[in-house]
Order: sequence, then structure tokens, then C-alpha cells
Amino acid sequence: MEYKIKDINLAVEGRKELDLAETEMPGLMALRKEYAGKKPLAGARIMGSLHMTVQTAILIETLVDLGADVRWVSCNIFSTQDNAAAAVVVGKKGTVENPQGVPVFAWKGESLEEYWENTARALVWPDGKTADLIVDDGGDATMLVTCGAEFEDAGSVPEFNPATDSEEWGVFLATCKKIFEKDPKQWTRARETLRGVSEETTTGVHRLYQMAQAGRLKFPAINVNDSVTKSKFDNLYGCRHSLIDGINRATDVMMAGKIAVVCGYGDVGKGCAQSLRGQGARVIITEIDPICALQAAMEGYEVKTLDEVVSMADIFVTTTGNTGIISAAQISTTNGFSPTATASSCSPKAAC
Amino acid sequence: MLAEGRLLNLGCATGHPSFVMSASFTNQTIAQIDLWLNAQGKQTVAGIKYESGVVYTLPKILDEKVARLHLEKLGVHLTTLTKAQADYIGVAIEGPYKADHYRY
Repeated sequence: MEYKIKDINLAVEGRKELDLAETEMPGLMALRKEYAGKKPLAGARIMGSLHMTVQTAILIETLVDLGADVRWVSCNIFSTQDNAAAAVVVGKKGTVENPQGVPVFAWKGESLEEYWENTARALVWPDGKTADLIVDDGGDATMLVTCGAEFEDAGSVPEFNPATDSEEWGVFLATCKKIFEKDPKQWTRARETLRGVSEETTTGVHRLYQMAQAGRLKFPAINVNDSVTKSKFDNLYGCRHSLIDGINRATDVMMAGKIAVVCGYGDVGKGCAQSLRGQGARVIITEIDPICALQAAMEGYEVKTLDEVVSMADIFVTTTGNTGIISAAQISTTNGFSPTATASSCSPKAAC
Repeated sequence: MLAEGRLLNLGCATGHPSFVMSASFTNQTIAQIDLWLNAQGKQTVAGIKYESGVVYTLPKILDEKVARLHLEKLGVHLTTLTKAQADYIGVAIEGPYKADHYRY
């Protein structure tokens, strides 16, 4: 079985965390029960590009339980939990010596080159066939298939322009070029046989609607993000839990009494602001949307521009999914220790 | 700068907790089942025939199903509409309860 992870020996402790997670994931366990013996996903090759965490491991094993043939990568270079990845590779019936789970190509701390190589690899099965379905988070796997096929249509991969393009875009183009030289029709075939994409995040669905409008979407897509039970829960209560968890683990700085600036007051910003306030921080919001700004103000937050507050704030959190929110020049005007964090359902990435 | 400016909660901690991700991933699983049923020309769970080039959201009744699956764990006792109440506001007793334009 092929896989590329940090250390397969982490599977034993990973399985313990998965067992615990199963007791906290009643929806997925209910679907396993509802579809027991029916295998509605039998014959489906599913490629997932979504943070390879303990929770995602339970999603993967649910898809397998329902009959799917699954391959997985993370959608972020830092988000993999290596023990969860190992447990998924070993699987419920396998051992460290004889893994029988799902091929995973992900580890915490990938380079951008490794990240895009992993994404490309997970999309292609050992027999050369590609995914029937994609579970996407942030749209990277969908972008690789779509842009890859469009480059093939055009007959070449565009040149990287370091003056105007991001570093990641350059890595993406280099990955496409390498594959193009080996097989100039790989993504054309992949796009033709792709039967659908389900997308997890605000950023990813935004990309999908743009692609649909431009006539570039060659398969059906389901926007999972805008299910109420996703964005009004995961984005809000998920961030309310995990933002301060991340700040605590990374810095152990006490938030009580500090001034925290949250850039953006969407679902993610609302959760972040509430958790910081719960810690006793004085929270200030920045917003470009008058509706969200009014919501923040009526919730009792100060709403200011970043420039007005940057010199006095202690903690900065960006939640916008956009680029250029805080500049190096602005940060240089802050006093002392200022942890800066991005909390979002996806980080901004290059887009084609 | 934490997590080199990338996602802080996943880079420096372990992301969202299981319970809330269960709701997200129950939607993901239903979406995958539906896309595969659709690919095989079978009746989908949502009752939608998914066309190429179109972005869909799952219908509200499935959203409500996902929520229902998470109530027992939290000890929630849901009230059921009477027939008279359901008729009064013009919904079915078993849902969906809100119009698509309702924002929660």
C-alpha cells in the first residue's frame, strides 16, 4: 500500500484519539448505522484534500465504511496531525507492519513543493485512473484538476512571473509543468471523469461560484459550507474553541486585560471575538462590510480601522480570507509582544 | 507571527473539536453519497438531479436532519408542533421549518 506520512508508528496513539473522537461525532456514527450493509459509495474513488486531523480521520473511515475507495491529503502545510494520519494508513484491521487503511500523503510541516506533489499524487490511483469525486477544502484539488486541464487545452503551462505572482503560484505552475511534460492529457482525462466536488469552506465555494459563472466548472459541485449546520456552527463555535487553544499552546500569553484586534466579523470573526472576550481581553473589530460592522457594534465591540488601533493592541487575529490585511509596516508600530494569528476556514491561496 | 501567518488553530493546535466537525462532515458525507448516486443515474437523497457546471446547496430538510443527529448527545428535548400549530404557520410537522431565505 502506498502512503507518505511522518511516522507510521504513531498509529497506536492516533487510534486512541480516533476512538475518543467517535464518541463525539454522533452525526457520522449515525450515517454509518443508517447505511450499514448498503454501501452507497461502492465503486466511488474519492480523493480528499482536507486538513488530515483526528476529526477528518473519522470522516475518511465513514466514507470507507460506506464503500468508497479513498485517498487523502491535507489542504494546508501545517495542519496534519501525524498520529491521525498514521492511524488512517494502518486502518482498523491493519497493523503497523501490515497497514490496511487508506493511502494518505500528508505530514505536519510540508514544503509547498511537497504539498502540491502530494495533492497531485492523491488524485491519481495506482492504475492511472483519477478521482470520481473530490472532498475539497479551499478548492486546491479542484483547482489542480481544472487549471491543469485548462493548461493542457492551451498546450502549455504559463511561465511564472516572480514580479507579479505569489511564491505558491510559482510552485503550483512548476508542479503542473512537471506533470505536463510526462503526460500532457492527465488533467483533461481527470476533468472528464470527475463526477462532482463537495466543498468545505467559504473561500472554496467562492472560487466554485466564480468558476461556474465563467463556464469553467465541468462537473456538479455541492457547497457544504453554506449548510446552516456547517458555517453557523463549525466556523463560529469551532473557532470559538480553537482560536484561544492555538494562542495558548503557541504562546501561553495571558489574554485577560490585553487588547485584541479581530479583523473581520463574519462567522469566524464572531467566534474569535467571543472567545477572546471570554478570556477577559478587550476586543476591537475591524470591518469593511457595514452590516457586519453594525452587528459588531451592537454586540458591544468597538469597531475601528486597523491604523487607529495598531499601536496600542497586543493580539491581532485575521479572519477575512483576504490578503493584505496587516502589513509589516503596521506591525512594526506595535508595542512589545504581539501574537498575530490567522483563523479562518481556509487560508488565502493563489487562484487561477 | 504564529503559524507563519497560516491557520493558527490548525498550525499551533489541533483545529476544531470533534463535535462541531461531526456536523460539518455529516453534510460532507451526505454530499458525497448524493454526487455518487447522481453519477450512477440513481435517485439522490436530496431529490436533486445535479447538473455539470452548477453549484448546489443541500436542501433544508437535510440540514435539519444533521442538526437532529446532534441533539441527543447534548440532552436536547425537542418540542413537536401540533397539527394545528403546523397548519397555522404553514409548515409540515416533520419540517422543513424555515423558508430558504431565513438567515438563522
